[in-house]
Amino acid sequence: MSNIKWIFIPKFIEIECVPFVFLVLFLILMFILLFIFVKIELNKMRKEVKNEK
Amino acid sequence: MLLKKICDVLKSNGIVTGYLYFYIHFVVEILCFFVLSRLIGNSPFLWLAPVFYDAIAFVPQGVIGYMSDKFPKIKIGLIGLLFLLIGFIMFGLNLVNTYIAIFWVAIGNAFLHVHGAEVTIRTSEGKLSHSAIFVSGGSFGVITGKLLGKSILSFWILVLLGLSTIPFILLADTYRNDIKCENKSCDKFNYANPNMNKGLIILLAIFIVCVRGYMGYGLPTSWNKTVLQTVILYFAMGIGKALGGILADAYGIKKIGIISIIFSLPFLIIGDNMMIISLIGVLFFSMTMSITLAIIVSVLKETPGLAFGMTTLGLFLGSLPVFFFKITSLIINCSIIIIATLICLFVFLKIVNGGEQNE
Repeated sequence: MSNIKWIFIPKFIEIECVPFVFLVLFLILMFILLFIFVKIELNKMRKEVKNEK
Repeated sequence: MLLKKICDVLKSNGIVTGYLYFYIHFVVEILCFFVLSRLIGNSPFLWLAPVFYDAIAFVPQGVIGYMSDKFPKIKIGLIGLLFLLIGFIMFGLNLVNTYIAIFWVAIGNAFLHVHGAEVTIRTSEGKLSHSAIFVSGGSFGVITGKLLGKSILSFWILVLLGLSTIPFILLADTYRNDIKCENKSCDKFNYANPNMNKGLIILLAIFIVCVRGYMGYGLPTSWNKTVLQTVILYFAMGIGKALGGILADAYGIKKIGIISIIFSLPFLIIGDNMMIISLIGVLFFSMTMSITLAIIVSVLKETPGLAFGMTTLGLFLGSLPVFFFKITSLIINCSIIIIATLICLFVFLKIVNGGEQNE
C-alpha cells in the first residue's frame, strides 16, 4: 500500500458539495440513458437479423 | 513503398473532413485546456474541477451522438461552439460560479467531438484515417492550451480563435450532407467479429479503451522533466493517433492493431529514462485509438455517434482511478502495464474481424 499515493481529498465535500452532487446525479442519468440507447440499437439489430432469416 | 501507401491514404475520398476537424479539434482543446490550466493555480479546484470537466466532456457524448444520429438536421457542431464560447467567456469575465462555466465549456466540447466523429465516420466509406486525423488534433490542442493557460495571453484572443472554426464546421457539415444515403455509409465498417455477441464486443472494446485511458496517465516517463519534453510527448501521441488510422487503412486493421499493442510494450517499459525509446512506445501505444472506434462502429453501424460515445465513456472510466491514487512504484506500474497490454491483445484478437474484409 505504501507504493500507492492517495490523491483523494476528503475536504472537498465542504468546499464543493453542490457540484459534486450534481456530477453524481448527472453521471447516473447519462449511464442509464446510454444503457437504454445501446439496448434499443442491439434489439433492433437482433430483429433485423431474425427478419432476414 | 510505405510513404506511397501513406500518401495514397492521405488523398483518399472524403479525407478533407479529417483535416477540417483536425483544426476544429485542435482549437476546441486549446480553449478547454486554457480554462483548466488557469484553474489549477487555484487550490480548492485542484481535485474536483478536472474530474467534473472530464465527466461532463466525455460521458454524455454517447447520448448526444445518439440524438445526432436520430435527428441529423440538428447543427450540433454550431451548438457545441456556442456552448463552448458561452462557457469560455463566462470563465474569462468571472461572471458565474466556476463550475457553471466549466459545465458549458465541457458540454460544448462534447457536442463538437460528436459532430467531428459523425462527419468523419460517415464520409470515410469504411476507412479509419478520417477519424484518426480528427482525433489526433486534440493532442496538439491539449498541450497548446496548457501552455497558453500559464501565459498572460488575453482570453479574448482565444475567443477569436474559437470563432475562426465556424467556416470549418459549416464546410464539414456540407460534406456530411453530400452523402446521399447517410446510414449506408457505415455499412462498409466490417471490422468486428461477426460470430460474436454484439453487446459483448462493445463491452470488450470499451475495456480496451479503458486500459488505454488508464495507461495514458500511468505511462513511465521519468525523462519528461522540461516543457519541451512534454510538448514532444504530446506530439508523439498526436502523430501516433493519426498513424494508427492511416496505417490500418494501408495494411489492415488486424495487423496494425497487433503490431501497435505488442511493440508499444518493450519500448514503454525500457524507455522510462530514455526519451526516444519511450516516444516510439507512446507512438505505437496511441495507434489503437481509431482501431477500437472502428470496431464499435462496425457493431453500431446505424449510430456512429453513439459508437463514438462508447469510446469516450471508456476513456473516462480508464482515467477515473488516476484522480484517486497514483502508483509510485515503477515495478508495480510496469507489471500493471504488461498484464493489461497482454489482456488487451487477447481481447483484441477475439473481437476483431479475422477476415480482413476492409483491407
